Parts: sequence; structure tokens; C-alpha cells
Amino acid sequence: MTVKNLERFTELLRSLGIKINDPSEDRYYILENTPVIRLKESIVLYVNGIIEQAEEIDYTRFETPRPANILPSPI
Amino acid sequence: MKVELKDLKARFNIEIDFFKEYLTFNEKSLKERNERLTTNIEEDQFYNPSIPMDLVYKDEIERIPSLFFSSSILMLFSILESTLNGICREIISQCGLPMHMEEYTGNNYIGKTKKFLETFGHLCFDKLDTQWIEISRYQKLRNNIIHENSTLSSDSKKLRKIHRIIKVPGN
Repeated sequence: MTVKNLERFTELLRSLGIKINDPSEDRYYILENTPVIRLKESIVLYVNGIIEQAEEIDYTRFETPRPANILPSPI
Repeated sequence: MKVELKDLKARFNIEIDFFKEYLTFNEKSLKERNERLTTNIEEDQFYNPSIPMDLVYKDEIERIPSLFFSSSILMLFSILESTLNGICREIISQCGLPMHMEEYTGNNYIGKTKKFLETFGHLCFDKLDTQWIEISRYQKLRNNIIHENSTLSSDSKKLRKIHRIIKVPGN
């Protein structure tokens, strides 16, 4: 990890409320249950939101797209 | 024509329910372990009053629960990735799209499925922006757990460490 990325990641951890330990040069962070609960809630809302929308869409309205036009070339 | 995702939704809900139960079960075990350790600290402190036992036991108290919660983050991403993959596959299959998910290349699987669902699934992600941003933040955490074992170390620190190790034999 570059110094800049490390700074960004440390900031991210702090914003997620994750405790950072610094007993030596090998710093590590301590995870508790709050980030796990928050992530679970976000995933539930995200997946349910996707399913809800996907079930609402009438796919006959759309032409079948040609993947070759959208996907990057194999090279 | 509409896509039917009832079974997939039911499966996802079951997975989340299992996860909740797994979390509760392990949190209970961790609490019991913490109580045992607290008793040990008190006893050791009694016989060794000059030693700061809370510091001696600090790692034992914090690291094991942290390992469990780290693996729980990975587990949640596994549920998310397999569910998103399932949704994409259902859309491909039910709409008869001439493609496979395998054709989509890239390392960021969650980003890949989002692109697919926007392009081929015609989904609008504006409504899911809050969750998407939150999940992306946790994705960085997940990557650090997997690739860096939950440690924070810059390349320069790693290099200094390597230099020290190399210097030791010859001194």
C-alpha cells in the first residue's frame, strides 16, 4: 500500500468507526459488530432494491442488446 | 415480459437469516469467552499486582473477536456476490440474452454486475446510490482483510523492515 493509499484507508476506517491499534510498526485494526451489522443492512436494501426494480421492468420494451457492441474486445 | 425472481429472493432471505443466527451464536460465545478472560485477568492481577494485566490480555481480548467479525464481512460479501450473480443469470436466462456472465471480465465482481444490470437489465441505480456507496466503502475493507490480513502498513514501512532484516546477518 502506498503512503497515500494508507492515509486514505486509515481515514476510511475512522469514518466507519473502526478502532486502529498502534502498538508497534505493525498497525492493525479491531473490528467489532457494528460494521458487520451496517454492511448487512446495506446489502439487504441493495439486493432487495435491485430485485424489486428488475421484477418491475417489462423486458419486451427493450431490444436484445448485442454484447459485442458493449463488451470490451478479448484483446 | 417480466423476470421472475421470487425463488432467488427467498434464497437470499434464508441466507441472511442464517447469517443473523450465525452472528448471534458466535457473539454469545465471544461474550462467554470475554467473561472467562476477565476472571483470569482479575485472578492474575491479584497474584501479580505490579503487572498491568489488562495490557497483557489486550491482544487476546481484542484479536479473536476481530477475526470473527472480519470473517463475517467476507461472508456477507460472498452472499452479496452470489446473489448478484444469480440475478444476472436469471435475467440472461429468462430474457434469452445471447451471452454469459463469464464473458464479463474484470476483478471487481460487484462493479461488474452493476454494469451488467445497468446495461442489460435496464436498472436505474440512482435510487440505490446510498447503499452502493456504503457497500463500496466496505469493499475496500474487505480487500484489506483478504490481501493485508487487517494490517496497516505502507510500502515504505515494509521496505524499511525488509532492509533491517537484510542488514541483520552481516550487520
